Amino acid sequence: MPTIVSVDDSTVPGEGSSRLLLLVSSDNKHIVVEEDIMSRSRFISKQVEGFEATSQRHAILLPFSSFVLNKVIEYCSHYRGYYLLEDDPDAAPPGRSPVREWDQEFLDVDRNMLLRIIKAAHYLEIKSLVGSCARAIADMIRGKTTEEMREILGVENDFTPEEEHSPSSKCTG
Amino acid sequence: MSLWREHFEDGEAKFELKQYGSAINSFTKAISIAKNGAYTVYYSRAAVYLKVGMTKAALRDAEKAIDIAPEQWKGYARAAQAHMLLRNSSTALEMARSALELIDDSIENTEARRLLDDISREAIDDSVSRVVHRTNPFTTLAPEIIGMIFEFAVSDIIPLSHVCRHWRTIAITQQSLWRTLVLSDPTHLEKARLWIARSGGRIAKLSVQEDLGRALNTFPYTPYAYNQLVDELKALDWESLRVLRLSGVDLARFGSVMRAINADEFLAHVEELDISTDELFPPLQSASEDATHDVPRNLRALTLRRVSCQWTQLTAHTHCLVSFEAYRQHQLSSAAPIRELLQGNPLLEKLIVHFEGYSTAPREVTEVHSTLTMAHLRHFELGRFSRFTHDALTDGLRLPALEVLRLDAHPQVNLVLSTILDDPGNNLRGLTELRIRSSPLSHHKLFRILLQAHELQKLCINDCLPDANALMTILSEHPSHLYDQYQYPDLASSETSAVPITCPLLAHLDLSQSFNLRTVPLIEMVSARCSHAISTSMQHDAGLSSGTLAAAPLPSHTVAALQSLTIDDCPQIDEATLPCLRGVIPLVNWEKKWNWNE
Repeated sequence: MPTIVSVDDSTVPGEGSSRLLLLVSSDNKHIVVEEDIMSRSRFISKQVEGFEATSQRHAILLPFSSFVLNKVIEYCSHYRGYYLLEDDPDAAPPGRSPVREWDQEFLDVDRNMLLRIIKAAHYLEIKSLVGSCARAIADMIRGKTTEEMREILGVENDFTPEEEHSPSSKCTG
Repeated sequence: MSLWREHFEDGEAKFELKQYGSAINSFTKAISIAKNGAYTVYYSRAAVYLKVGMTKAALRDAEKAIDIAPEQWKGYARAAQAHMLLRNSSTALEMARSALELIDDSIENTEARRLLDDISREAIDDSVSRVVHRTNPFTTLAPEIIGMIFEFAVSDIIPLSHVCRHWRTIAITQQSLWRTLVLSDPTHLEKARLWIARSGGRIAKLSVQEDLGRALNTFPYTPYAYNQLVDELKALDWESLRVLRLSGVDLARFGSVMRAINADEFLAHVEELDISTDELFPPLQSASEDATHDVPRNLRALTLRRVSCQWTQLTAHTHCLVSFEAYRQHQLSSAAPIRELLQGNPLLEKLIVHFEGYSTAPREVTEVHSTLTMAHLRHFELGRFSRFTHDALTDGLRLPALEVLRLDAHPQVNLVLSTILDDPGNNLRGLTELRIRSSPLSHHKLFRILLQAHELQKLCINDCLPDANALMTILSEHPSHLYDQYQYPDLASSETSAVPITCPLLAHLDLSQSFNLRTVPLIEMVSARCSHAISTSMQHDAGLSSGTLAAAPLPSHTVAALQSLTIDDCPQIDEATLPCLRGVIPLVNWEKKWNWNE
């Protein structure tokens, strides 16, 4: 959980329909964004509900860099006002996220960036973005051998030789 | 010589003899007598501890040696060795560096210096790889996200579960990854058990492949392993089963096996059913009365290969079929059962019926049918129909969504096409694939369809036309030139005149077994279509460069370039023209499968 810092009301002009939020990234960049853009994030929504309860508005500190945060804001701005089933907290969760073409292009980034985005999306509880990222990562490893998967995702083999050839592994389809 | 030195030398001798236990005892005695000042004893005992794998004890001794004689390098060297073994790479590096500062350059210390250098290098490598590992975001992803990635990526779960321990744990605990069970052998006992346990019994897709299917067919006279396998299936939650593929097994027999393990409802929730018998068995005549409760309530897709379709029973029990495929069926004496199946399943999108053999039954007199509209049927495929069965099927049949039409060895192909052509409810605009094989097709019917099928991409006319050269003419000209010639004045008024050439989007053409197709008409057709395609692409480029939307060509004016041409078994096509054809069409197949000289 990020720490919540009180800010002067003048930095957050929060009147009327398009209220603003102040987001602070881990590299201490201050980003002002309209509240309804970020309403897709369950995490932010809960924070805002908290503000309403205490009638005090704060900056929201986030544990990832402004680079990643801007990418997430770009995503949220693109889908501003769109209904995505995965992001509806009241709807039954769909089996898997559908393919969205715009997302595929949006997530055409290197591996580390993709992993940072998915972590940020997970932290912010944006299910649709988590789903799209997971699909993109899955595309990278689909049909690959174990060794290739390790290389692609930079995962270390921590099995002992006996474990690696355990009987359960022999049951391939 | 002092007493402690005696013990010390005794210890060194024992160490040389690899009697490590006694060596430690001797050194310990030496330490107890010498009290302090004997750092070499600690240092030596540390060496023995390292030898026997007591790394922490070795580290304590090395630190003691450093305490007593901080100016001596040997204590630091031992400590570096011990820290490295304990994977404290940064401390190991620090110790190795201290030792290297103190050690002199004498020849007897060369070996020790090399060892210290190695330790430093190893320590650096280790700490770098740890930093990389720690900063790789993938290793710190939440398990549920990794699970989600697995679900998207899963084609085979096994390679995923072999990447690392973390992944294996996640893969094993995520039930949804284990819902597809493919059994190809009666000895797959362990696999079945594993999959059923890991999916919590909720297998959604069960596929029984041929070898096992054969074993099931001989139930209950089966080997021990197989009986055990059937036993394992008891643990399945049949309510979760959606897709069932049975190869080499008859459904009725499979049903009796399932009832034997009290899985009466095994089919109740299946939505996709695919049954085929293997070549060893003749098409099976199922015991029909008994099989009635085998038809699932929500069946959406049914595929039957070499398994007799019980038409009336199927019609009585299905209402939401989306896809129906039946291959190698016995001839019917009337098409009425198929028609009834269509009536009962208005959502049908794909219908494939192939018969085999010849009908021996006398023709049933069928009444004239009323109109039947299949609003969603996209794929309509009939094969080897006997002369008698077609009319009752296609009379008054309306297929407004038709995209793929395939007729194989259909004796009354022209009547089928007439039905489709003459009914005003049928729209040929959507047709993308037309395949007619070994049927007595008349030019008139075919050309009339082609002149209207502006979306057609794939055309396959094999062993049908009395004169394939006339088809070449049709495919090389503007439709309006042909309306008078073939007396289709009714078509001239429609929007077809906007099309520059017949079937402008045609990309795949198969003219195999056109026995009278000649080289010149074929070349003329290809070049005519090519020049249209080139001018289309030039217009398109011009439209792009001018930058205005209005300049872009309308879709109806687009002519696609041919992507593939198949002319197998066309004896009059000159082999010398192939390089020319291959120059303009990416894929040209030309093969002599028959020996024409015989």
